[in-house]
Amino acid sequence: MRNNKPSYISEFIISYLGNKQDKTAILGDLEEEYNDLFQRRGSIRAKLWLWKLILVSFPSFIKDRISRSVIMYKNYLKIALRNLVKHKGYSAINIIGFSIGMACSILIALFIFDELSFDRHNEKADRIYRVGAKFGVDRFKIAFTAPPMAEAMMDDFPEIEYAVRMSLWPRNVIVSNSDKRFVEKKIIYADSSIFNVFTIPLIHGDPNTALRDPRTILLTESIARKYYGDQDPMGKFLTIGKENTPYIITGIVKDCNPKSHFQYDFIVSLSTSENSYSDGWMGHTYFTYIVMKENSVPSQLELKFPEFIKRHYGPQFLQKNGMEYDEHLKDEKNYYNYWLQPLMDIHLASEGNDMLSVKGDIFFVYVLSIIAAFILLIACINFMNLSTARYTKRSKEVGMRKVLGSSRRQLIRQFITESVILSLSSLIIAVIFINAILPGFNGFTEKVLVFNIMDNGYIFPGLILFTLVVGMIAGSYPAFFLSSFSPISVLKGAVKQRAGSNILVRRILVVFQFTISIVILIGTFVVYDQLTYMRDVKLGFNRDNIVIVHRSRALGEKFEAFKQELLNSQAVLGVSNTESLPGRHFNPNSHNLEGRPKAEQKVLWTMYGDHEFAELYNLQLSEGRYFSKDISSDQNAVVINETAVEFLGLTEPLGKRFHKDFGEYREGDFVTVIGVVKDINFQSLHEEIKPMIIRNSANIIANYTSIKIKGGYIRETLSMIEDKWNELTGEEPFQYTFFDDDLNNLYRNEQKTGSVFTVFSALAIFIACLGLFGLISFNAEQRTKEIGIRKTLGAKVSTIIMLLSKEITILVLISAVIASPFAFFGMYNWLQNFAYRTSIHPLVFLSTALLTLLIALITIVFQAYKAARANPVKSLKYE
Amino acid sequence: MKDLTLTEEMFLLAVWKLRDNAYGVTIRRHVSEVTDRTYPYGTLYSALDKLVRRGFLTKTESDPTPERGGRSKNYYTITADGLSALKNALELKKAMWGDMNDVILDKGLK
Repeated sequence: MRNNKPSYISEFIISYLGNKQDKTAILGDLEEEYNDLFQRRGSIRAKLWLWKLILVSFPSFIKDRISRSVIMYKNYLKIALRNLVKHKGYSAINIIGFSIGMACSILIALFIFDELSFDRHNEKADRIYRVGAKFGVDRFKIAFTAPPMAEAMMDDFPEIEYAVRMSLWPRNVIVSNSDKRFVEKKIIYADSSIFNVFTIPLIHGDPNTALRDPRTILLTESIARKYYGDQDPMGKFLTIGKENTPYIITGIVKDCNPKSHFQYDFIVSLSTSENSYSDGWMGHTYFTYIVMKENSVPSQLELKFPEFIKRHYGPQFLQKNGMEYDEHLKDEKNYYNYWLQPLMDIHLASEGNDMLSVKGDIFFVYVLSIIAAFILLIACINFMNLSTARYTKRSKEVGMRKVLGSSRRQLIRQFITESVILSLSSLIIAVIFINAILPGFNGFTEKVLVFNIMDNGYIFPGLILFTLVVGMIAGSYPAFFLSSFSPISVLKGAVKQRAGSNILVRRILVVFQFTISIVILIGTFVVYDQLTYMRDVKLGFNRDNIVIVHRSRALGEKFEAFKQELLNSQAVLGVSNTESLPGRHFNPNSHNLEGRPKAEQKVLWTMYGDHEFAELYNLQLSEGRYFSKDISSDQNAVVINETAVEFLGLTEPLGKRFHKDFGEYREGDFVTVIGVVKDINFQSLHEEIKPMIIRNSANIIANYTSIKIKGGYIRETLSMIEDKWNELTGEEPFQYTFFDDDLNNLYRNEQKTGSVFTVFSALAIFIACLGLFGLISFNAEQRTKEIGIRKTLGAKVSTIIMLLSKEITILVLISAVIASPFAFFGMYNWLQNFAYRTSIHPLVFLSTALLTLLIALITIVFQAYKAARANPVKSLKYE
Repeated sequence: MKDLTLTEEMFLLAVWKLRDNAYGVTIRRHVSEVTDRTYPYGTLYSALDKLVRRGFLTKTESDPTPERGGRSKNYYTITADGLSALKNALELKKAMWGDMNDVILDKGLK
């Protein structure tokens, strides 16, 4: 008789489904039956019979499994809760640590998701690109492009679906209708195709025509309410600044999404601007955004750009310079090309961010995520350490369970259940924490984050999943460690001997925790060092007691009168009018020295200052003199800085002449160098000092008025200035800042990084010390007898404290040694962002180590003292 | 003591009848042939297990046999308790049926 075997798959399934005891016999029976059927009725019948058997048994099998595991988990749960309640101190330490760690990471996750979600609300977000230009050997990237480019691209490249040009209203301006006027900051120009590119919902108006004609304007809903209340603004007129022709309102759009990288309250039709009709390819004035057609590849489009530029810009270049564009390009320093930047990269990118009102910082995002992960890890380590430290207590339980038939897998499940319960209860506390901290966090990150578990379908399952994962990570080591005991040696008490490796792991984990904490702490010190350094570095100019009045153009002709009125007051020491201010934006302009060929023109940063400028800001002259009111030829005089002298290679700078117009080469029109000022840090300290030229702004009515006032009586002086302003301008809004604050604002990102480091290093150390506290109390409890014997033999309290804290001290010191190089390289890299940077002082490492040690010792010394003071009689009776 | 169910009774009886050759396949085959119904293995094993637990049957594992791919068989043997349970069941039925037989039943409702 031939033996027909059922297929292996069915056999495998049956053996899996069946209960263990009778498996072989049952399999044997089935095989015999199968074989018999096979002989009598053929293979198909036999197979059908077997598979039917399998399928029919499934439902009850599953039911059986579930009810059995529910019973098991109910038991795990009960034991876990009992353990938590029994060891309240350890549970508290774990839950506090966990919940702080979780709150940190959830908050940071919120922040990061928010940062990453910028501009994603646009329906075509994944197909929108910003076109920019890049120049020169180092491929310097800007986000601006020439006026005719958008249209030319639409004509030339079939893969582009839409293109839009946009630009910003250059400065704050007053917008008014017949009865209201406000200072407005967020006005943008845009082509009417903006609606095809970005998702900007129009509430009233027709997207095809709303921005077509010159002098049309769209308002956002809240602006419409601000100016018109409940009235319908459509078709009404608004005036911007001092322009004579008003704008007609042709539409109302929804308020700007706060997660858009450009912010607007008003959108003015780009056709209003003369420049938008320009066919010049040399001016980089507009932001251009394109929508690529589905399935077209941006990198392939980029390959076509050089040809495109040559086709359009080439002829203009030839005409203007008498030189073939190809020839010009041969020199690497004349490199010029376009580049595409994906819309969703713009917010966090560091290049070409000229339009952003809310700028992200990718570095900040990285630092935050790393720190969050580490803090969570420190909390997990606490759990691991404390649970393994308690191993002797639990080892008897493990032994009993094993004797009674628990498998190792069941024990692992039990311990993991315990840690998951801890992490779930921490999650609840963390959620409460988050809701309490969120307003502060929002204020600090300048965001409007909302934390609502029910907000969307992802948050709740995500949180639960996150908590489970955290619980499992934290529980994994103790679970595997504790479940590995052999029941015989545990019940005999022999497990104590093999605890050596466990102690080593625990020490390593403690060192790891403190290493992380110390790295973050050193980071904090260095960030603050740099901030102090930047505050105290010699800027080369006076920064105190200067009030800046903004938009002083509004004074117009009355500026002189304003100045005189102020100078008449005792409290005002000087008044100067300038186009820009140190720390603000300066234009780099091409300058030609007289007698040098055009090809050698050099870029100098241009500052405009009047006669009082140097005195008010206390600029020091190293050669020559500053502009004087009494010398009329000073109208055409300039002052340059020392860097510029060196940059231009001048040996006798005084009397040298520049062509007056930027980049132009007109004979007979010169400005003369009359003085050289010492270098000042006129830009932020991220930058090296650049070659600078000061042009005389005496006859220009400039944007800012700097007023130097006497210390004290600041409030009175300010209100006096405001009175004079109102008197002379009518109802122009009065805006002022203190120069000092303006300068400090340059370093806001660094201040933010600084406070983040402070908060998180405090948290990291706090959680790590919580763990230490748990460990030391446990340690003291374990060594009760030893301490008792030592005391009876005459040990002093101090000796005992030493005994208990020695280990921790060594561990913290090891951590400091490991942490120092990491922290050094991390912070060294960070400092490379600054042209002017502090050095990392070795004392920082020493003091951080000592500080951490001090905190750790304070944490443990109380427990150690308590243990050392205990009455030896009592402790010897212990157990 | 709880009475045997009909299925239990049949399987128990089959084991007793089969003597030395009572294991899964033969038991099921015998009952199926006699009653002309198919009993699935699930019913068979759970009934046998229950009988073992109640002490009516004992289970012994045989040495592996070559014709079943080297697998052993679980042989069942009836115990004294099992026998008396069978006897009980038979007596219960006899007492109930009394003088009745199929001829009388066939007249039935007429």
